Amino acid sequence: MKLGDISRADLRDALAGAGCSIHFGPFVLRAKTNDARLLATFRHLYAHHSLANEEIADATISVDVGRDCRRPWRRQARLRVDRDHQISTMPSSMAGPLMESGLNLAIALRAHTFLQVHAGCLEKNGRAIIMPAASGSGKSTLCASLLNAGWRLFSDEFAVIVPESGDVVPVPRGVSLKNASIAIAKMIHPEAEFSPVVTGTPKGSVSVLRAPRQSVERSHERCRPGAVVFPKWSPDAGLQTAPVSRAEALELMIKNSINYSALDELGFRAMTRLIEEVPAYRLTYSDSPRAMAWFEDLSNRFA
Amino acid sequence: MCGPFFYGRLPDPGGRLPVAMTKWRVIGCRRATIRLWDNDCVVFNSLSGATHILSAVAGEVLFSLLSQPSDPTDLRARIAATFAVSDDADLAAAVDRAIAEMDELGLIELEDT
Repeated sequence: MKLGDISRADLRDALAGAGCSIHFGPFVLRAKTNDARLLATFRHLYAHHSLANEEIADATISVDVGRDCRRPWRRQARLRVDRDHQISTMPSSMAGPLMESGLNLAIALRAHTFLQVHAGCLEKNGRAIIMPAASGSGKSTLCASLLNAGWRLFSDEFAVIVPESGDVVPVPRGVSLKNASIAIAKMIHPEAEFSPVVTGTPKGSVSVLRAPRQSVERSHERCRPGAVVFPKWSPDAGLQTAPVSRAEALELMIKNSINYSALDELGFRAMTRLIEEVPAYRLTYSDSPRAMAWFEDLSNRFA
Repeated sequence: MCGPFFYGRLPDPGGRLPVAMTKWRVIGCRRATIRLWDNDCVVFNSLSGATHILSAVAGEVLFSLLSQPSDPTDLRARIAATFAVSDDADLAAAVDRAIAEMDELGLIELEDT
């Protein structure tokens, strides 16, 4: 059963009660909230995701909205992951972004059976491209463009890799967009659906592009990696691409990895195998159509 | 020897041989955790959990020491043979640099004499 199949009232009761457990690729995350606005956003963003009522959740993410005990005239949203102490507090209007960051945090902190890299990850012609990049480098805008060009979304946040086999695992969730990239993504991908824009967050204005239905429905289909691309949006760059040496690619991948150290030697073996298996490139761009053509050419080499 | 002054040569407290005569051995990695890629050597140090990017010379030194603990003179001769270069001052400096770097990183140590 999909989350979108249950009624709003049932979802409200589940989120406010024992929680609503959802499959995100190989993970089952349980979400809880008492906030009506977050309920609507959550229902919209995850309508295509499968419910996992009978399974034990890997983590429980709670976003509770209530009065601030020090300033009772203000309503605050409080994030907890499992029974951990309160991780973050924000004004109640930011409950949506807080839930998104809680879902990210739960995967980042708990999923050590996989090698995780902070990266956009999409698939075409049976191979995944992994795009590790720091926040603000245009990774999410690129993801939105590639989705519009028919690529399958694995994740906008994490490349999730099975360390023993090197397979790349889809964990499709929405593409988080910030500030100017929201308008750009809406222009690039007019058919896509977006969550309401929330302003004034620590990252500025944020909105989430809903993961395409087809990507969510195929979230059990893993694939081999095809390439590692280090993207960077830079004004007036046009399109510049250059191969990256294996040692430098490893260094950059480790820098962007979330749990490389935690995996110890297994992480080293998984990471070096990935680097040996696929080419790595640096992509600096301002010209999106040319960048898309370059990605298309790359995917044709996978076919 | 008693008193505040001592005019003789201080004995080596560890009783060790000079470094040039002692052998180095690998302690922090195995063949399976070393990759030689073009001009770089990538090593996972299982003692520290750190990953290091070293020069190709350092990689050859590591492989050589994994085969057999060696002193710097033997190492230079073997590295010279591997890279087909003469065993000159430049090579000696490169091998010494590699040894010092890997010692610092805890990848190799001097054998007890």
